Amino acid sequence: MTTTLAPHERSGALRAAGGYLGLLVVILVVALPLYWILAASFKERPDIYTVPVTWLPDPVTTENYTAVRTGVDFVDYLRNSIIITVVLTAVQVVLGVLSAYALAFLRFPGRGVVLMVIIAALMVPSQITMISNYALVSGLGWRNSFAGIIVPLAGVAFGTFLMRNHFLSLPTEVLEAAEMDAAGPIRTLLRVVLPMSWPTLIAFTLITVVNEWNQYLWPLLIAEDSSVAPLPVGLTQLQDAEGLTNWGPVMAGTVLTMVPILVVFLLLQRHMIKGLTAGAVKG
Amino acid sequence: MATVTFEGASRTYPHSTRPAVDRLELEVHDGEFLVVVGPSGCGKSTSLRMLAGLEPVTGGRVLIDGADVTGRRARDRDVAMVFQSYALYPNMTAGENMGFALRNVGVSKAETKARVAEAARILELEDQLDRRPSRMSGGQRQRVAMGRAIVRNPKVFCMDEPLSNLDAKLRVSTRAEIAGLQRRLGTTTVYVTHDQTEAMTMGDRVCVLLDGELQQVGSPTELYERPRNTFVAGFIGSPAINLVDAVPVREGRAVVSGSLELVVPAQGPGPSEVTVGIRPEGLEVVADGEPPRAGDLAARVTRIERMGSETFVFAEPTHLTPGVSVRSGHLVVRVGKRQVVTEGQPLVLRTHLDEVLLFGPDGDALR
Ligand SMILES: Nc1ncnc2c1ncn2[C@@H]1O[C@H](COP(=O)(O)OP(=O)(O)O)[C@@H](O)[C@H]1O
Ligand SMILES: [Mg+2]
Repeated sequence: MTTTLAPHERSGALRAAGGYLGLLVVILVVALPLYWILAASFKERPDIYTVPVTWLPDPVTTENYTAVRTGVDFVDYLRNSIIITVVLTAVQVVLGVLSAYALAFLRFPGRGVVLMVIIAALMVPSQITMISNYALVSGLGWRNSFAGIIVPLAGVAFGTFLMRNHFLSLPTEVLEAAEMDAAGPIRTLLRVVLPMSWPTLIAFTLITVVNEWNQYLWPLLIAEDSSVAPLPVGLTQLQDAEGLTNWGPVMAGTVLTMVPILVVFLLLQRHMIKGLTAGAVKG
Repeated sequence: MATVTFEGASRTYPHSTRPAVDRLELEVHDGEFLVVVGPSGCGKSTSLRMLAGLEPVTGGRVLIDGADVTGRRARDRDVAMVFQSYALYPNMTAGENMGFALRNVGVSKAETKARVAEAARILELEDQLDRRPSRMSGGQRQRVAMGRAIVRNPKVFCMDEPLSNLDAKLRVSTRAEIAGLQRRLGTTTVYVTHDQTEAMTMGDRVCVLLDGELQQVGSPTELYERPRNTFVAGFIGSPAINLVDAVPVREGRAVVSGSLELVVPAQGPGPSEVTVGIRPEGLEVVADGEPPRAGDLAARVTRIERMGSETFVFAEPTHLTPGVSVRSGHLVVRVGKRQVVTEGQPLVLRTHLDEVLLFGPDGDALR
């Protein structure tokens, strides 16, 4: 007996097949290079170039990681990256939340204009402002300093936009209840609004952390040595130090650069759960 | 303890041509339980929010205890609100929800705790104080929302359909609890509902709104027995009043049928046509064989609804004056449960003439 599929079952199967195909493409495009970086970082130098490719490092070596530590001031770059990322994330999250709160809940003249300006700022690529920013930072004598790297990057438009839209989606009656209960703006923000906003705030924080950790072009322009340069700039130094043929230490450096961000990601993403407004409204 | 006065208070929403509340004139006495009732969209919530300070007043004034609060912020009005959705803070326990307002105005931790405990005792929430709203039943959430209002001991309670999210049975018991609680606390209360039963059973006085306009304010009995117009007559009472339209007036008498004629009270030339309103209990089924009298109406039974303690008979009048029509197509008659009625049966209905209401062509009552 042959089984014939009903049309909807057939289209369901087709859709599933399409889904798996998409998954496969994503794995090839994203996971494979990542794996290649990881594998290469444990290979001996000649093994990286063998044809056909070897998928597993054999023998496994950690000499690339030693080379990273001895070749460049890895610890300095790591420290700089942490400083830059932590400061930038803190500033951007605080500014983003405060400005979003103002734009969502406070009534003031010019509110619409401010919002338009922020959305417009989202559309300007950072490369366009880079030259004038560089002139300004040079004029201030901030080259090769944390201030020179951090201050021009501390503006926030995306976060304001994201958080404002989230705040507007919160149940208005709960905010009115806070108003009736005589909670001031700061207390409303901290005790009522933010507790209903953790998932969005964490997503915003994560995006900011990743973004700032990976800052490359601007720090490259401003930093002149390992006293302020972050890891991505340090990796370039590594490449220069090792020459263009020794990819092992560069891959090891890349892995070491990725690990902290991966840890942050895994820690935070568990908290990106929905349903924080459960129980607020309706029975 | 406070009075509330709406003095020609209006609210027109931006981009709207009609006011959602139109020149509302209303006086709520000290300690009174006033129910605002009307169909959905008539401006009940808007009126309440104008009193609470959540909605700007675009015309007229709102006074609390004689003081103009029109321009005052919600938090400075000493008014507490129970929202339809309860609007509890999901991240706080029941106790924290109730104590939040007190902590915000600088009441000490110890006193907050004592006042929350007292409110919890009154509302029988003592064992729920450490729970979050998401882990509570609808009825418990409703009581936490009540508790949040009463711990503040405000001048005025505003309640916006606080029972509409409860199931029917809980609604009836909570209805009595809220009314009882309000009597005990003696706090002036404005209570909004679309449910006329709630209005009739809970309110000291009831205010009926339609399309943002005040229709009538009065005690439940007053609204029931002396409605000012056909809208109030039809809105108050369940099942609804029977309205008989286009009844011709001849020589000062409204002629519903050959046998039912009603005196139209009128100064000068009265209307040529009236609407007659008869409550379901204003009609009686005449026992078989009894001789017909003036005021009787012949009808045929179309449907029967037995409620257990009473029965509602839906009947179609058969000998109306030509041109006269019954709104909704049938007359509803309340009969005792012992009365035997069958579908399709012809009936004679006797009208309690002293309970009949008459309305002019504009819908206003004729007195
Ligand atoms: N925020 C608003 N913006 C514009 N119109 C509104 C707004 N809120 C309510 N309305 C309108 O005002 C009228 C009264 O609304 P509301 O007071 O909520 O009625 P009710 O509580 O009696 O159901 C309705 O016609 C409604 O559409
Ligand atoms: Mg409403």
